[in-house]
Amino acid sequence: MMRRPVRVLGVIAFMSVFALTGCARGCTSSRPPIHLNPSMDNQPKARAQSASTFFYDGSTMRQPVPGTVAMGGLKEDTAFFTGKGADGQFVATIPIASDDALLERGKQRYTIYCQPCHDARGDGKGILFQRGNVPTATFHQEKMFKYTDGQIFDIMSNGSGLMPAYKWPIPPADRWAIVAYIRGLQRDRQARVPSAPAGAATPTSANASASAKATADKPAAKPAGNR
Amino acid sequence: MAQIFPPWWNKLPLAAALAGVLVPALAVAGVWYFFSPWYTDVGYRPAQPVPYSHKLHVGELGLDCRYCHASVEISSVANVPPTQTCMNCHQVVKRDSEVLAPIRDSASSGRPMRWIRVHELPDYAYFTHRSHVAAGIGCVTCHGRVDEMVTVTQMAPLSMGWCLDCHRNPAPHRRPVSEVTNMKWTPPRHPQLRLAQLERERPVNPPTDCSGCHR
Ligand code: HEC
Ligand code: HEC
Ligand code: HEC
Ligand code: HEC
Ligand code: HEC
Ligand code: HEC
Repeated sequence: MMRRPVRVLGVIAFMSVFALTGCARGCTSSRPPIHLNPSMDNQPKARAQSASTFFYDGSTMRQPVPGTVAMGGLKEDTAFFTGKGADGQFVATIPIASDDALLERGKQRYTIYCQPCHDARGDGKGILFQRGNVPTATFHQEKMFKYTDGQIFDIMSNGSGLMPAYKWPIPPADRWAIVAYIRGLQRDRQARVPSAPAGAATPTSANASASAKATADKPAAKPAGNR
Repeated sequence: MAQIFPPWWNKLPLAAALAGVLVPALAVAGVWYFFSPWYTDVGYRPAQPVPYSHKLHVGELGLDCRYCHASVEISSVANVPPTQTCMNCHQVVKRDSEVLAPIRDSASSGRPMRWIRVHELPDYAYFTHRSHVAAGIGCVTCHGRVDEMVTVTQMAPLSMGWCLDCHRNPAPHRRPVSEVTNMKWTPPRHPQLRLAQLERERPVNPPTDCSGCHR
C-alpha cells in the first residue's frame, strides 16, 4: 500500500523537473536554440554579413578590387552621382526632374536620415544638440541659401566637420530628393517669416514647381510588378 | 499454501491501463510543448558585445529602423549597421563611454564589429525583407516591439508553419507601406474597409509552393 503515494510523488517530481530547470514557452535565454534535427541548417556557404575564417579581415563580404567597375556601375553622369558637373563645379540645381513625387520621397527620407539631428523643421535642434550640446547647423541661415544644390548634395554625401557622410545608406536619387525637400523647408520658412533676409539669397532649385504638374496625376502606387 | 499472487496484483491491469494512457499522453504533450520552435527558438536573447539598446535609440531617441537597417527595403537582407553609423553620433555623444570601446576600436581599425546573430533561418530557407516590406508587413509583426527591447530577443518561431499561416491569409497582417517601421501603429476603425482598399491598391500573392522558399 506504499505504491500509490510513491507513484504520485514520482509524477510530481517528474513535472517539477521541467518546472524548475526548464521554463515555459517564450522565456528568454542566451543559449542558442537547439534544433533536434540540424539537417542542412548550416551549409558551407557564405551569407551576407557573416564572419569568415578565410579572408584576412574576417568578413565574407568583399569590397570590389580597386580600379574595377561592376557591370552597370560606371558613374558617368557626374552631376547626378557627385553633384559636380563635367567642369568640376557644383551644379546649381537638382539634375533630375523635381516634382511632387520627389518632394514626397524627400520628406520621407529626410525624416529617416536627417531629422534625428536637424529636427523636423531644419533648425538643428535634434538629438546631438539635446543630448550632446553639439551645435548642429540650421538650414535657415544665409550660408545655406547660398549653397548650390550640388554643394548640399556633396555635404550630405561626404560629410563636413561634425556632419557625418550619408553616401552609404542613401542612394543618390534619394539624396537629391532630400535636397529638394530642404529647399522646400527653406521656402516655407521664408514664406512664413517675411522679415527674413530674402531677396538676394533665395533658395535655388527654381524648377521645383515647374515640372510638378507633369507627373502629379500618375498613380501613386505601382501594381505588383514581377509576378 | 502461500498464494503466488498477492491480492494487490488484481489492480495490475488497471494500473497498466492507466500508465498506458498517461505515459504516451505525457510524452505527446511534452514533445508538443517542448520540441516546438515556440519553445526552442522564441526568447533567444544573446548578450551582444556592446550593450546596444533599441529601447533607448528607437523608443526614446525616436530613430527610424531604416536609419541603421537601411537595406531592408531594397535587399533581402536587413543589414546590421556598419560601425560608421554608430560613430555618426558617438564621435561626439558619450565619446568616452567604457561600453562603446569596441565600437571605437572597430572604427579606428576597420575591423567589423562581431554582433551575435539573433534571427537565423536554416540555410535552405530563403527569406526576403524587400518583398515583405513592400507588401506592407510591419517589422513589429515578425520582430515584436523592438522599441521596447533593451537586448534584441527573438519573438517569432520563424518556423515553416508560422510563415505559411501568414502566406495563406496575409490580409489581416497588412498595413500601409508608410507605417511599416512604425512600432505603435494600430489599425484604424472599419478594418474590413481598410483591407479591401489595400487589396485593391496593391494585391499580394505570397508563395505557398515549396520552391517559393526553398530553392
Ligand atoms: C548625426 C547627426 C546628423 C545627421 C543625422 C545629419 N546631420 Fe547634417 N549636420 C550635423 C552637424 C553636427 C552639423 C554641423 C557641422 C559642423 O559645423 O561641423 C551638420 C551640418 C550640416 C550641413 C551644413 C554643413 C556646412 O558646411 O555648414 C548640411 C548641409 C547638412 N548638415 C545636411 C544634412 C542632411 C541633408 C542630412 C540628412 C541626410 C543631415 N545633415 C543629417 C549633424 C547631422
Ligand atoms: C541606431 C541604429 C539602429 C536602429 C535605429 C535600429 N537598429 Fe536594429 N539593430 C542595430 C544593431 C547595431 C543591431 C545588432 C545588435 C543587436 O542585435 O542588438 C540590431 C539588431 C536588430 C535585430 C536583430 C538582428 C539579428 O541578429 O537577428 C532586429 C530584428 C532589429 N535590429 C530590428 C530593428 C527594428 C524593427 C528597428 C526599428 C524599430 C531597429 N532595429 C532600429 C541597430 C539599430
Ligand atoms: C542619432 C544618434 C545616435 C546613433 C546613430 C547611435 N547612438 Fe548610441 N546613443 C545616442 C545617445 C544620444 C546616447 C546617450 C543617451 C543619454 O544617456 O543621454 C546613446 C547611448 C548609447 C549607449 C550607452 C552608452 C553609455 O555609456 O551609457 C550605447 C552602448 C550606444 N549608444 C550604442 C550605440 C551603437 C552600438 C550604435 C550603432 C549601431 C549607436 N549607439 C548609434 C545616440 C546615438
Ligand atoms: C515577414 C516577417 C518579417 C518582417 C516583416 C521583417 N522581418 Fe526582419 N527578419 C525576418 C526573418 C525570418 C529574419 C531571419 C532571416 C534569415 O535568417 O535569413 C529576419 C532578420 C532580420 C535582421 C537580421 C539580419 C538579416 O536580414 O538576416 C534584421 C536586422 C531585421 N530582420 C530587421 C527588420 C526590420 C528593420 C524590419 C522592418 C522594416 C523587418 N526586419 C521586417 C522576418 C521579418
Ligand atoms: C505576416 C505575414 C508574413 C509572414 C509571417 C511571412 N510572409 Fe512571406 N510574404 C508575405 C506577403 C504578404 C508576401 C507577398 C509579397 C508580394 O506579393 O508582393 C510574401 C512573399 C514572400 C516571398 C516571395 C518574395 C518575392 O519576391 O516573390 C517569399 C520567398 C517569402 N514571403 C518567404 C517567407 C518566409 C521564408 C517566411 C517565414 C520565415 C515568411 N515569408 C513569412 C507575408 C508574410
Ligand atoms: C513560406 C515559405 C515556405 C514554403 C512555401 C515552404 N517552406 Fe519548407 N520551410 C520553410 C522554413 C522557414 C523552414 C525552416 C523551419 C525551421 O527553422 O525549423 C522550412 C523547413 C522545411 C523542411 C525541414 C524541416 C526540418 O525541420 O528539417 C522541409 C523538409 C520543408 N521545409 C519542406 C517543404 C515542402 C515540401 C514545401 C512545399 C509543400 C515547403 N517546405 C514549402 C519555409 C517554407
